[in-house]
Amino acid sequence: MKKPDLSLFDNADKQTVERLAADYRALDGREQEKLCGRLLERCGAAELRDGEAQVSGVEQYRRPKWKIAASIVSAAAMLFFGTAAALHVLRGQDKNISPADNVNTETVTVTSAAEEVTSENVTEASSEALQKHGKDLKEYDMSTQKGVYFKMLNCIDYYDRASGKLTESDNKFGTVNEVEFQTDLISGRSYSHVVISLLEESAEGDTISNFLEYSDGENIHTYDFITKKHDYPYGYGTGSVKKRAEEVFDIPDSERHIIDEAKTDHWAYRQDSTNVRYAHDCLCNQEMIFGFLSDLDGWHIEGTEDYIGRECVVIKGSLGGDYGEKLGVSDFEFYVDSATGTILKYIGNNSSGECTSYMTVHEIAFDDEAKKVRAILYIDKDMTSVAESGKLKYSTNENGQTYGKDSDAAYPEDMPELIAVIGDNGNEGYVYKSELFDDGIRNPEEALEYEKAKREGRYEPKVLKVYEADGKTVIDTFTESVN
Amino acid sequence: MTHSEYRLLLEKDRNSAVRALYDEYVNYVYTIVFNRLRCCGTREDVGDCVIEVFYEVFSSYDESAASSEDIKGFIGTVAYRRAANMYRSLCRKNRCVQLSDELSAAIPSDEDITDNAENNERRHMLLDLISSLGEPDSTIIMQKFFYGQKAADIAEMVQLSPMMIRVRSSRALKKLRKLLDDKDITI
Repeated sequence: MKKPDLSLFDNADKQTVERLAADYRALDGREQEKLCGRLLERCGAAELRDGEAQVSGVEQYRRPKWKIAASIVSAAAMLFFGTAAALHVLRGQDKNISPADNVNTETVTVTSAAEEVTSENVTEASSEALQKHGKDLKEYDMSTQKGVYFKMLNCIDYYDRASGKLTESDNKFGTVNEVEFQTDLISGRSYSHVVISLLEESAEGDTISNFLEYSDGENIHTYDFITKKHDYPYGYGTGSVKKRAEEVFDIPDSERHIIDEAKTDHWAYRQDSTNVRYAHDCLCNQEMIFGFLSDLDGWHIEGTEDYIGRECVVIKGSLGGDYGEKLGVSDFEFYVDSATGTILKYIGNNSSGECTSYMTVHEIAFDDEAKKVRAILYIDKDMTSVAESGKLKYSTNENGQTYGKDSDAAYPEDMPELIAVIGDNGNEGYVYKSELFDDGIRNPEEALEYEKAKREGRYEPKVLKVYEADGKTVIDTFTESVN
Repeated sequence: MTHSEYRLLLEKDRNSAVRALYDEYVNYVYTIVFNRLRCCGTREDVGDCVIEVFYEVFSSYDESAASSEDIKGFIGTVAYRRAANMYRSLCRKNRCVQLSDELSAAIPSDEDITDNAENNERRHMLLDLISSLGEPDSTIIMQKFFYGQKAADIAEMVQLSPMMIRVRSSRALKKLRKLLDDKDITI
């Protein structure tokens, strides 16, 4: 297809230019900052020249270095705080997504009822929230609408870890997403492998994206299998991972949806600590739950049904108004996991009964049954090639024992049988994993004694034999580090 | 921003005033300059001109000469004038002086006025049609085909992946062409 020529806008009339300026960003944030830096430099340089012009005769005036330094610091501070403020605003906007953009509603993140947030009470509230999570988990009656609705809104309280596979359509973009996911809400670590294909056939091929999106507990990263590029995903940055322990304020069920005197809806969102946005519809889509189910008259409980080996509450309903129109959905069906309140199946149909959007979980497991979160290892320094922990192939010696570095594995069970160490005398060799990780503790009393001995300096560190890669030839010793 | 607001900022801290004015009007100024220089300059030229506009605004600011309270008019005038100067300078450098364009300002004719009016109408219609695509499609079309941004840069603006930008831009373009056909406009 021939590229369009929008030169019609060149040298346009003032009215058109005003509209262009009002409706479209002419330059991105980076370019804007770059230009600002150049502008400040330009202004600074001019100030220097002004200084020179004022002095005559004996010696050339030089602006004091402290003044130049102060200007630089001041400009840098302005840039920093300006950027930080912009980021803060943008992040705030990201967090508060209304269930229906076009509806006359307003979303708020409830922080606290007229409570001043200080670092002191944030810590207290945080530990309180944790205790509450452990002790006072609510037992919702899943045979009632309110029970189902609030359990769905609070579903993140009912599991610590989850893993599974799902397929979902995204009609907004005309795509189908195949997602494999694993998440740990306590550590903030997550893994998802996403393959995005076009709903309709396209000359560009069916698969348009194939990537990993994962959290190492601190930052969310992506690895694109097509471009072989590592990156932070769009809209995320450093420190963007959410952990359950960071959720400070408890929001009572009665305050999740409030209509004020002006008849404006306010939706209170809890922090989503799943860190797997492509499994969001299954694990924690509060926006969807508010949008579809906040009107209890619009849906009913059909009954319970076994789905992929789990007991589910089946919900059916109809969706009207702007939100339904926006999604192109007039009738919907949800399969809600009774134990956790997560959504295992969703079907949305338009007024003609045609399916316009869906999400189907093929397999799911929670907590102890869930798969551990896979760690991603970059196997080259340019970060263009990845291997998933556990799938990394270690070398094998003639006795069939694996050997290599423990740092290449995320969990002890992924580690090789012979772990690389540097011996007490500087010889590089291997110790047996079974010996290294066997602390000899068999019961809580022994654990207490072990801790006490370490504290009191009575603990005798283990001394292990260091072998060649064959696991037989002893070449050195390795003394366990007590610290 | 009004003249009095700017004056207050200037009194407190010149750097803050510079930054505040820049943040508020950089998109406006950039649009004016880009609009004028798109056909003959590079993005680097546009950037240079934008800096000169703001520098002139800061250095030649005279509140007593302000004819209205809103400072935007003053900034816009400086931007249009600077962009026109830069345009002439670039055209001379590129040896591509458009006589018709130069002359049109000096010797206006009925024909030019009609053409201008028609072009203005077509521009507004085109803008309306692009807006009717809705977001993010309208932004994608403008950024890709007018501002010449790469898919990766647009992706950051509209929070989508570059791959999705390519898919959406081709679909939006198809839709726009259909809308333009209906109105008998070709681009």
